[in-house]
Order: sequence, then C-alpha cells, then structure tokens
Amino acid sequence: MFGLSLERVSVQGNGKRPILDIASFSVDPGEKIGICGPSGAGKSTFLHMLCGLVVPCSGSIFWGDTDLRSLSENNRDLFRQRFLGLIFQEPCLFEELSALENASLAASFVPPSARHDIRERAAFYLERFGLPKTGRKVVSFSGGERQRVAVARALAGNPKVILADEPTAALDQENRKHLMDDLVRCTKQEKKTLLMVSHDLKALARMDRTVELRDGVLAGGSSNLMEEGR
Amino acid sequence: MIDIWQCVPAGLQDAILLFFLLLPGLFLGYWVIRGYRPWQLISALLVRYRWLNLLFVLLIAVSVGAGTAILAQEKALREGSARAAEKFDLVISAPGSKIDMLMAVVYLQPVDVPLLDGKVLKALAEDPRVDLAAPIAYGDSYHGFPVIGSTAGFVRYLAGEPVLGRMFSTAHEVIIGAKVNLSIGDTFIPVHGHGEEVDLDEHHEDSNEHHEMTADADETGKSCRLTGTHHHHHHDQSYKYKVVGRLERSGTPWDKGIIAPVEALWAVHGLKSGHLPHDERLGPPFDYTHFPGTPAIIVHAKNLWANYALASEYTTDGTMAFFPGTVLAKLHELLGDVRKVMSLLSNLTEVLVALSIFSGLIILARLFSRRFALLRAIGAPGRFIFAVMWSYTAILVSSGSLAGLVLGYLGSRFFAIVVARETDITLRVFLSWNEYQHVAAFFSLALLLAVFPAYIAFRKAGVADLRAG
Repeated sequence: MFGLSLERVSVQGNGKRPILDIASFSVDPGEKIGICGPSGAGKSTFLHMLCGLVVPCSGSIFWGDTDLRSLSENNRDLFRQRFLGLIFQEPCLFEELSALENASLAASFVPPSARHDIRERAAFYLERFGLPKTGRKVVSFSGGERQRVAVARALAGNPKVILADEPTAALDQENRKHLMDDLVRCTKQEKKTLLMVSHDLKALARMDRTVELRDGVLAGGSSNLMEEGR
Repeated sequence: MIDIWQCVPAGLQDAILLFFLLLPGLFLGYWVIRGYRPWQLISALLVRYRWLNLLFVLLIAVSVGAGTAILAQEKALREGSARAAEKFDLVISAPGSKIDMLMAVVYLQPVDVPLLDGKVLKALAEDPRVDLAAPIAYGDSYHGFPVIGSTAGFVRYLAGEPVLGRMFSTAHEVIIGAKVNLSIGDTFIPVHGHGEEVDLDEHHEDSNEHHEMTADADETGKSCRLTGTHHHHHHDQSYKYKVVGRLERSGTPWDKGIIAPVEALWAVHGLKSGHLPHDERLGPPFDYTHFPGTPAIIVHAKNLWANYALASEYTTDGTMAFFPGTVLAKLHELLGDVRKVMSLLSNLTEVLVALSIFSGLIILARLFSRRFALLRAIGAPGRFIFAVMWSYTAILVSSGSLAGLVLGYLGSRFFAIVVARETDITLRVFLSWNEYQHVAAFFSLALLLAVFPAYIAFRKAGVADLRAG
C-alpha cells in the first residue's frame, strides 16, 4: 500500500500567480480522500500533479518512498503504469475496440510478462461490473457502461492508488450510485488508496475524508460535506 | 570488394540490393515497435478514419504506380521493339533516313523511300558470305492490313513455315500474319496505300493514270517509291490474292502483315516481274535486267563478322547499309533519357505526395491527441505513442506501396494493350527487380520520413489534450 506526502508544493501557471500552492498534505495507505472545490480551483491540476503529468516547480511529492519530482519523464510514465490507476470525467475509450480491449489497453505497452495478468484482471472487473459481453464494441455502450469500462481499465493494472477526476459527473443518478458502489467496494476490498475529485456530495460522503481546494490552496477537511451527503 | 561483387550472380545482386533498400525501413520498424503490441490501437485508428486512410493509400498508390509503370513500360517497350527487329540483321536500302527505313521494314509503317536497283540484289545474292538477301516491297493493303512482298525464303527465315496451310507457290497466293482477319481460302483484292492513307478512290479513278514510279523506275531505277499515296499510278484493280497459309504469332507488326510473293506486288503495280519474260518462277534468282527495284534488301550473313564487312561495303553514295539493332539502340538511348527525366519527375512526385500525406497526418494526429494523452496518462511511454503513430503511417505507406505496385503493373498492361493496338508490337509487361527496388527505396524513405509525424504526435501528447472535450 502507498501513502502520499506533499510538502510545500507549488505549480506555476502561465501567469505569475501559482495554480497550486500546497503547504502540506498527506494520505495514509488505503485511505479514501474526496477532493472538492469550485470550478477553476485547481482540482484536476492537483490530480495531474499527483500522477506526474504536471510537474511542480517546487516542493516534494512522495508516494511511499518515491519522490515523484526526482523521476525522469520515462520513469514517471513507468510509475503511473505500475502504481496508479486513472479515471476521468469522460471515459475516453477507443470506440472501435471492445470492452475487454479497452479495459486491457495497458497490455499494449507493458512488458510481455505482465500482459496476461492485465487481460485477466480486465475481464474479471468487467464481469464484476455487470459487463459480461466483453467482446462487444464500446460504441454501443451506454454512458454508465462506458464509465464502468474506464474503471475496469484503471483497476486492470492492479494499481496501488486510484486517482479519479469527477468519474460520476456525466452519469445519471442511478448510474452514479452503481459506479460509486463498484469503485468503493473494489478499492476497499483490495485496500487501494483512492483520491477522487467530485462535486457529488453523495459520492464524497463515501470517502474517509474530504478536502477542499480554493484558488489552488487546500482548505483542509470538510466534515460538513460528508454529513450533508449522508 | 568490387571483384567479389561482380562474381555474384545478377539475380542475387538484385536480391541483395532489394534487401538493403528495405533494410532501413525494416530496421527502423523493429527498433520502434520492439517490446510493444500497438496493433489493436492502430487498427482502431485505421477503422475510425477509414475513408481518409483510404484516400492516403490511394494517393501513395497512384504516385508509386506511376513510377512503377514508367519503369516497367520503358523496359517492355525496349524489349518489344528489340524483339520485332531481332530477325533483321542488316538492311540495305538507298541512302536516306535510317529511322524511316527501320519503321518501314521492321514496323511496317508507310513511308516513302527510294528504290534500289537489281544490281545490288544480284551482288548480294551472289556474295558467298550472304546466307539470305531478300527484296522487300510494300505499298498496298487490305482493310488496313499491309501487303508486303518478299520471298518464301525470307518468310521462312522470319517466321518459319506457316502453322496453318502452306507457303505461297503462285503470284496470286499470300500467307497472312496471326492477327489478320482473313481465313485460309479467302480471296481479296488489295488497294493501294495503307491504313488511313488508303486511296479510297482507287477503284473509281482512271486506271490509265500513270504513277511517276513507273516512269522513273524505268528511267533511273533509283528515284521511285513503292509507297506514298500522293502518287497515283497504274494499279491493277482486278488482281486477286488467295490466302493459303497463316504464320505463327510473333508479337511483332508482322502479325498484321499479308505476305505475298514480291513478284505479285510488282505485277499489281504494272512493273516488270524480276524474271525473264514468260518465266513464271517465284523468288530468287532474279534477273537484274528485269528487276523493277526494291525499297530495301534484308540481309542475313552466314557469320556475324560478315554483317559488319557487308555493312561497310554497302555504305556508299548509292546505297545505305545499317543494323536495325543499332538504330534501335540509339532510339532506346533517347527513350532511356526520356525515361530518366520521367522517372526523376515521378520520384519527385512520390516524395511530394509522401510529404503532403505526412503533413496531413500531422494534422490528423491532432484528432488522435486526446487518445494519445489518455495513453500517456495511463502510463504509456512516449516511445509507445511514437510507435503507434509511426506504425500507423508505415501501414498506410506499405499498403500504398503494394497497391502502387499492382496499379503500376495494371497500368503498364493497359498501356501495352494500347501500344499493341496502335503498333502491333506485343509488349511483355512484367515487374522486375528494378521496379521492386524502386518501391523498396520509396518504402524505406517514406518510413524514415514518417518519423516526423510520429515525433510530433509524441511531443504533443500531453495533459492539455486530456482536458479537451
């Protein structure tokens, strides 16, 4: 299991004002963190920074013992490949591929020894999420089904951490509930760390704690939201 | 090193060259794709933009096809025209244009040429170095098929015995080439002229009008023409031929020839028979005092060296001796120069097409950018994005190159049909090492150039595209 520790992290935008300016933030291994905040607060940038897609200009980001800032671009790719699973607001699937092919996309670029495991796990999660016809092209899938394929894709690589950026935003109420059920159940059972950006109070209420981002600054835990969600 | 290379058989040299031309592309492909399995993603991209991909493939195919067709066609033209001339070792005629004579004798194209008198033929016929010296005459046709007068010996030398029927044995019998629309036993009356130049009024005009040939031939024996439609002359409108034999197909203009005894052509034009009066024999020996003249004499010497000696001896003020093969070689040289220019233009077009397609792919890569960004986000290395884009381009280039080969071959076949229809020269179109090497060079060059759109796609795949949409 992986914990996260951030110290004095700053991400500079095009202007002089930093997009993110975080003094300190930590996540225990297996913890489920909700991240909320108004639009433009830097939530997505925060997640992108945590997975190494955005590199801060100062500070340190430790995942376990690994300092993400000290890694080269190739090693950050490798780190994401091995330890992180990403879910986006839009499922970002390859329409021409089947559900299984999409969920096991990482098998295209991981070392040959890991390919079989990825395909096995992708098939397992698809079935678990109620998508047994894995050979079907995703073009015919509903929004909820597509997002479940995206969750299966994030889990197929057996990551230690799941980073989800508003995964339920494009779904209706029923699909939101199903997706959150699947996501929370899996991460809990497999003791994965989960960081999820969301505006959905019910979704945030299922997290261990929630932090708020305002103008790139973490405003600490928000138990109110959790209470409201419940 | 050069010595070792020269010891290698030509076919193996070509195969080695082909391999080395393909090698940069193949090596680059191995280096780019090693460790990855990008085919699923590439097939997804190919299916998603199938019409655009098809257009790219077609553009490459057309440009590669044009280059291939130029190479294949030029080679087939050389081979076809050389084959048509291979039996014509040495031609002796009156001084004039060698190309005109070549066109007249080998390719049966109607041209006005002066006549040689009987003394030249007699000297050649009696020369111990000469195996065959045959006069040749033309000027008539039937439904566009030229009627050529010569001797049975020449016909046997040129095409062997008829495959159907028999050789002509009287001045009213002819044998026909494989593509003449007549049957054995058919009879016909020839007309003066050839093809579009046929004197259509021949049968209606005053048959007593004398052609200048007759008068000139009788007076000088040199300044006459057997062909030429501007010169009306006595033409026997009732002279009938009967088809008695058909020759095997040769793939030369002679396939559309009607071959009559040379005496028959002289008789049709009201000239002397080449023999003493009342002598009904056909073919040599001719009596030179009764020889009306011939535009050309086809000579086949007993030995190769004798051809050169004869050529030298008959290159005089009154006669011209030439090797059709040599004239053809000069024409081929010219053709080769034209081919070089066309090949250069075609290669340039190929590169330009490749570059414009790659520019298109760079734009297309923008459409892929979100997918590439997603791949980066889930941990795909930059080299994998590069591999996907490069392989995608490589598939378009390979498909286009292969389709270009097929297209070039089919284009050459089509052109060969047109040429055969117009000239009766059968062009044997086939793809040789040269064409394969040409395509291999393009293939490798295009794959090297494909590095640029791949590099751009890889550099641009970033977090900004992940936010898009």
